Amino acid sequence: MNFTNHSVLQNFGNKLFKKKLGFTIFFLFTVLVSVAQTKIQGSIKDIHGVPISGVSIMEKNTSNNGVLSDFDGNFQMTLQKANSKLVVSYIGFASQEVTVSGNKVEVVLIENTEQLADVVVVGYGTQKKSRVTSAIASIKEKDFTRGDIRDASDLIRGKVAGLSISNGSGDPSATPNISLRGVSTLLGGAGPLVLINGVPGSIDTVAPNEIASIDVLKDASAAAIYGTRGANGVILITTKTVNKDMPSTITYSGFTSVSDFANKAKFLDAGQQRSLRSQGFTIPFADGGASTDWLKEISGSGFSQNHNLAFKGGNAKTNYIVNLNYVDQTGVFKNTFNEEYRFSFDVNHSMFNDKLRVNLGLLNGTRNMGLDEGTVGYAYRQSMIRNPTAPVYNPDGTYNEDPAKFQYYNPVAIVNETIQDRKDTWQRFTANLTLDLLPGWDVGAMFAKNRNTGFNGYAETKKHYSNTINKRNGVASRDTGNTDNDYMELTTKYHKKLDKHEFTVLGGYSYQYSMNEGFSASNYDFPTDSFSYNNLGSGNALTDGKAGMSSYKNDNKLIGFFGRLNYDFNNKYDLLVSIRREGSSKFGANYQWGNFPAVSAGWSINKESFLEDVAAINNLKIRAGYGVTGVIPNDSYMSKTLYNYSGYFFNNGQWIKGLVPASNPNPDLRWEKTTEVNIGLDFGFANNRISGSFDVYNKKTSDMLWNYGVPTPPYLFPTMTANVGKMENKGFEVLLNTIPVKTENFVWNSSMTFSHNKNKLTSLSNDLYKIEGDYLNVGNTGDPISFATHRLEVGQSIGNFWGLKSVDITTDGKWIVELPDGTRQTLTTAMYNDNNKQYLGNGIPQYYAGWTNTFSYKKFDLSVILTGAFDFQILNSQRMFYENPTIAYNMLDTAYDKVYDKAVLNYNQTYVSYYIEQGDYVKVDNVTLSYNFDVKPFKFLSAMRLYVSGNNLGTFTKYKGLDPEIKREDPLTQGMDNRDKYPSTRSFTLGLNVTF
Amino acid sequence: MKNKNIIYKFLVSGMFLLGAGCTNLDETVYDKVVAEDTKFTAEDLNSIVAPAYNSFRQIYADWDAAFNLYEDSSDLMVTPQRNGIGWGDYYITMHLHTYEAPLPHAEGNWNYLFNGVNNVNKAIFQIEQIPDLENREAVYQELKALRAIYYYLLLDNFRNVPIVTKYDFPKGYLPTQNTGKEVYDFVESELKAALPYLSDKNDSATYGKITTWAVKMTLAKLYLNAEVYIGTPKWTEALAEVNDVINSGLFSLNSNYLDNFKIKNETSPEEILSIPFDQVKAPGTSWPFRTLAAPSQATYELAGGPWNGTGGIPQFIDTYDPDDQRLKDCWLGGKQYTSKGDPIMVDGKQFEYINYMTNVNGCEPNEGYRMVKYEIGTGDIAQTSNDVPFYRLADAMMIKAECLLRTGDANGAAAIVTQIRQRNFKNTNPAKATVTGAKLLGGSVYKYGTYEAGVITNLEGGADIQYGGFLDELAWEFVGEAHRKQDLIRFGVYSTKSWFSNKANPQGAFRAILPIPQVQLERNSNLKQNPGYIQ
Repeated sequence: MNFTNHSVLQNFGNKLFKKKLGFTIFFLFTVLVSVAQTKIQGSIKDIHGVPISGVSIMEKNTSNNGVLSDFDGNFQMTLQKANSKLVVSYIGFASQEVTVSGNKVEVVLIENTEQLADVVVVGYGTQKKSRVTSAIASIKEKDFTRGDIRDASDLIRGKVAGLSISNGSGDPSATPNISLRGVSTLLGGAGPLVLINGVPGSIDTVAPNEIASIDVLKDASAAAIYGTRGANGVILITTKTVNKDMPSTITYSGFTSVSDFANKAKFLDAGQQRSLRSQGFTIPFADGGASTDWLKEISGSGFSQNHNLAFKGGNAKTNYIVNLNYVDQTGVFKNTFNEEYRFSFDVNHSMFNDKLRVNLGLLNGTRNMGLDEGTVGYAYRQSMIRNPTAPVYNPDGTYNEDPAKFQYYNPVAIVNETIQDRKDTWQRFTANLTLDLLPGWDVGAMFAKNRNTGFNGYAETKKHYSNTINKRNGVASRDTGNTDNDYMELTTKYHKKLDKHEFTVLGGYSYQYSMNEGFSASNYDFPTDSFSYNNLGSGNALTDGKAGMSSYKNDNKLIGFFGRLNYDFNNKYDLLVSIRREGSSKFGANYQWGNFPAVSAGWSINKESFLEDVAAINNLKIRAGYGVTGVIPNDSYMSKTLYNYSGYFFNNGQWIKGLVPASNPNPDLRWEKTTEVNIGLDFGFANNRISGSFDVYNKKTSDMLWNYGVPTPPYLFPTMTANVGKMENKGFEVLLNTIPVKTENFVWNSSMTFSHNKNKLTSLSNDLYKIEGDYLNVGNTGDPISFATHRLEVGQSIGNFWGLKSVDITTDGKWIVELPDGTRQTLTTAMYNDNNKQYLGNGIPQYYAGWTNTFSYKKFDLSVILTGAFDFQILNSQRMFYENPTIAYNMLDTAYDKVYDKAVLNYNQTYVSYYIEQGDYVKVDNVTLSYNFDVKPFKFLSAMRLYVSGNNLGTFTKYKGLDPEIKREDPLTQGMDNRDKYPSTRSFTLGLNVTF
Repeated sequence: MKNKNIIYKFLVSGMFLLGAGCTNLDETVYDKVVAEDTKFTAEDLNSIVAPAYNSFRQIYADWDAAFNLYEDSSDLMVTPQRNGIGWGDYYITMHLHTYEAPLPHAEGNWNYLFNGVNNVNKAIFQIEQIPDLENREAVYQELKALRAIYYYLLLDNFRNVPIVTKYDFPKGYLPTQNTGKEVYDFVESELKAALPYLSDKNDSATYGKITTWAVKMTLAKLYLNAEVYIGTPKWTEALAEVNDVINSGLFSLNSNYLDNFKIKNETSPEEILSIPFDQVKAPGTSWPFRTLAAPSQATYELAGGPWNGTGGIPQFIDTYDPDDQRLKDCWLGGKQYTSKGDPIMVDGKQFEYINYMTNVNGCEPNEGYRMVKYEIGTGDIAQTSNDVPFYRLADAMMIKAECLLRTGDANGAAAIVTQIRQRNFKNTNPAKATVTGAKLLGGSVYKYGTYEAGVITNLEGGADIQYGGFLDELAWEFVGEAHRKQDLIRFGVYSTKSWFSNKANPQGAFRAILPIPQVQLERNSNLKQNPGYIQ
């Protein structure tokens, strides 16, 4: 290697991997010759004012061999010519040519925004974006959302086409629901695989401030290298590293925010109730004489603070990052909170002439949470349905309860008298060793141990309804669960460039052992409240034989072999071939191993001679890929015949425990497989002021794992986990980045994402399993309505609402429904069967969109993020249950409005299409205004940034419920807006980042 | 290429090393018993048999099980829509006899019964693996007799069901449907085959177990309803079976009717086959909670507010002789008091159960009397410890009486009925205990007809019901014991009379046989829906 040409260097500076650069520059430094003429001094910093060491400074068009900036970003050099230009280059930053005037130079390097030069993280390594042949989205730190950020998913909401992230809950301890390219598996909770620096982990375990980039492997040709769980995509989180000489820095990032419910359901208040009563309406309550705003009694403003300290330092040989993060969030409902400490430590160490590189990492976190969503959700329901004229307390100070009403409890007592302490801790040790065996060939080993522990305490005092109504005299329980994962990964990689041919070969082995264990105990009838859950043995239910106790332990193994070849010809034609062979202990003995191949190719058309000279086209690449990915079931041992002891049998005066099967065993249990074809186009025009990508895909899932219904007899249990159905997801995704305005002081960046997915269930049968009619009713409205809400039918999409189509109302307030044959009938309970039901809409948005606008004016940045979802319906269960004047509880203030402008409803709560609404919305998800301070006057500061931010500021929708961005959990019952959902919040944030 | 070879060699040798130890996908099962690794011994016998018997609790008392099915569809009780509380929906179709295949009551019964059948098959399969077992045949026969009782209930409800006797079936096996006649024959032959092997004792060892007497009671029931099942009456056969039971001398009537239903009723001399329940160890019932309204919590100091569901149909409550103690024994009505005797106040008024109902689509919480014949313990949770006397002597005697009545000995029948009635009038008006054969032969006193808000809108009456007087006696004696649907069908009343909101509908006679659950039809293509239902 011999570089004397600056432009070549520049090119390489942009394109080489970081770790190689230091070596290259060092090499250059020793080869080039210098001739002294003019001495200059200079300093090099990034836009935050952080000095950058190891930057190459060359004198243009001379034989001057250049210098590297020192530890403090300073350099000195002697120029050969007067008025020379300096070429300043550093990996990850745009190279600059600086004209020297005088003998002092200050250079501010700007991080390389030319996306084609970016490096993206792919499975087991990185790749230049320009060489990528599959659908991968990469979001770097500078593009992360700021504001009230709870976890990594908040950083990229609306920024990755095809990735839908819905929180839909104001619960501070809620975790997001993430789905990629629609629902491709029936198993609930099957989100994308999240890898943090290559190790699987939950997306909320890593401090958002610590993250350098988030890469999303969207199609199977990219994800197949991960085989398992790759079917729902892979999210790769890369944390910040130091790979250069740098001075020690401390960066403080912090924010505080205030939150309130974005919307509140309008139930009758005391005044409205009295007014209705005086007008002669039947009110299901006696006037209790008070005026109580029950929701207000159990809620207040939420407050959160987040403080993050990052310590960085070291040199190219040994360096470290320590990150400390403290999060304290209190929810809008009383006694809901999330207090989190996250600690990470990452050290890099190079030895033996950089032949051996060692990375050691420690990630540790702990969080304490208060009342869970189930508890406050129930209190919330009670606050809605409770008599607004009832007082909170009786004159004697006890909670006012009304046992005459069914399932009717004082919500203030629920929130105040339930004690819930939930503690999670997680620990991850990782060690990465990389050995350069020969030039271009290295071998690596990764060892990691991950432990997640939950430890919870729960108690209900004697003032809780569990005692005041249910006579349990104090309830308490504790439970703990632990998951250990051991990982080992061995990889070997060979990279070679021969003339116009460049290839990388990767081979590897991966081993994962998981073990789950846990314990729980409960008791009631306590002598005192003062123990809470801390003295479980003192309850009397234990001695009465009524206390509960359980423990469990199970394990599983996952072993994979993988190989990959990347080949590039002349920077024009790229090919990727990979295979993973993976085995899981969860499957039947003959079906444990599966093969997951992938192949993809790319053609950079802009590099062809006929386009090379077209200046307006910076990038034009066609990609096509095919791959197979898999899904494993959640539980272990399902292929085995297992027995449990349960249920008592009365035998000659003795109670004897029965030996019962645990489930229907399925020795044929095997991999669910998804094959996906993805065709994409990447483009960049007009100096990359217009760039983006377009992808179309077709995903076919087969051997779909689910708990299928089996006939009883002959089976003992009515369901069995088996591989039966088939499903198809087709769609497209668009990413469009534009820079509409770019002047010296003002830049407007716009990034739009748009995606469409069409789901179709193509089979629910195979040789052994058959469902007559090829449909299943799923979902449940919840008490007191006992209807299935959805239907799963072959040839149809998942998420279809199934029910009675209301079209009119009689003068006496009975529903008139339209039957499938088009005739109309007044609804009676005799009509509650499938013959009278039909499809009423679909709960899965057909289109998702996100639009991020960033306006930079001098030192101000303003970013506005809009998100939207279109063409879907929501079952507004709050209206279904409470917009009904026949109920014995409090109701929505619209309950007495005329239905269809004709008559007041006079029909029991039931599920009809009247409550299914159009869900389309556009949301102002985040607006952030930042100011970058000029820190020159302050010696000790190297950067400072202040911002104000608003989250969930407004929603444009016709939906009458609280928030059309609903919780999306079970894939089969999408579109159900649960009446008890913790309402989403709106928050305002003030944040500060300072680097010392 | 040289480099490539090195890599290849490295990879191959690496893989080889790994391959030796690291393709091992063994797992360890920690908290379950792995069947493949387990050898059963005679000591496991009771644990193996247990689930087969335990199913009986579910079959009788779980949600949408026999109790709900036999009572909710009858003229005795109804689970109406309770304003603001719920129920309704399928409970309404159950009352109106408008049900079709997606019917939780049918699904519940099917699932519980076949769970019982499968648990018996599983037990036999496991016992076959025990090498040395004394009385092996007796163990099999007791289990087969238990399975036959489950099949008797399947026959009674679904008629055309698959007979499955194997647990280890080949992959993809779908049972075929048997006709009612085949199921009838199966039940009869299995029971008869078992008889020589069963205990003919009645002691603590046989309590809750299948004995000779339990089998004879089942045979009697089978013959009693034979005309319904297979079109051939078998009154004499039924009579012979109950005569054996009655003449065994092992059983006697309780002097108090309610002793049958006490919390501690396991020593009841009247019980022939009981299903043992225990609040803690063997839960499953929740009668007080299913029927009582929330304010009654204070009466019994219940641990929780009851759910306010099922109530007595006013037309039925009106059939009782006021001196019949079973009215008060079985039903809670009128003004309500706390356990301390204070009035229970709701919204300023004393809470009162009224013998009045609006209609099935909407009843106030206090409408309808509540069934309390099973003793309710102070501080009870939703589960109770009263054992269910699935067969009791009064049942055997009434079968005998019915057989006599139907075979021309009305006076003989009346003597038996009188004997049973005596305990219920002894403290009020003993003379009223006596009934005549003519009365039993005559019509029912039930004022059949559609009832709306206290008014019978089209009085049909019960005078035209053959043996209607006897049908009334069955109601008073066995209300709340999951008998009534079978009785109404046998007496031809199920679809020919109106009561409360249910309208007579002779075209709906097919509903005497329940629909095969929709999910079973979907999952087993060999099954055909019973006649009359939407196919």
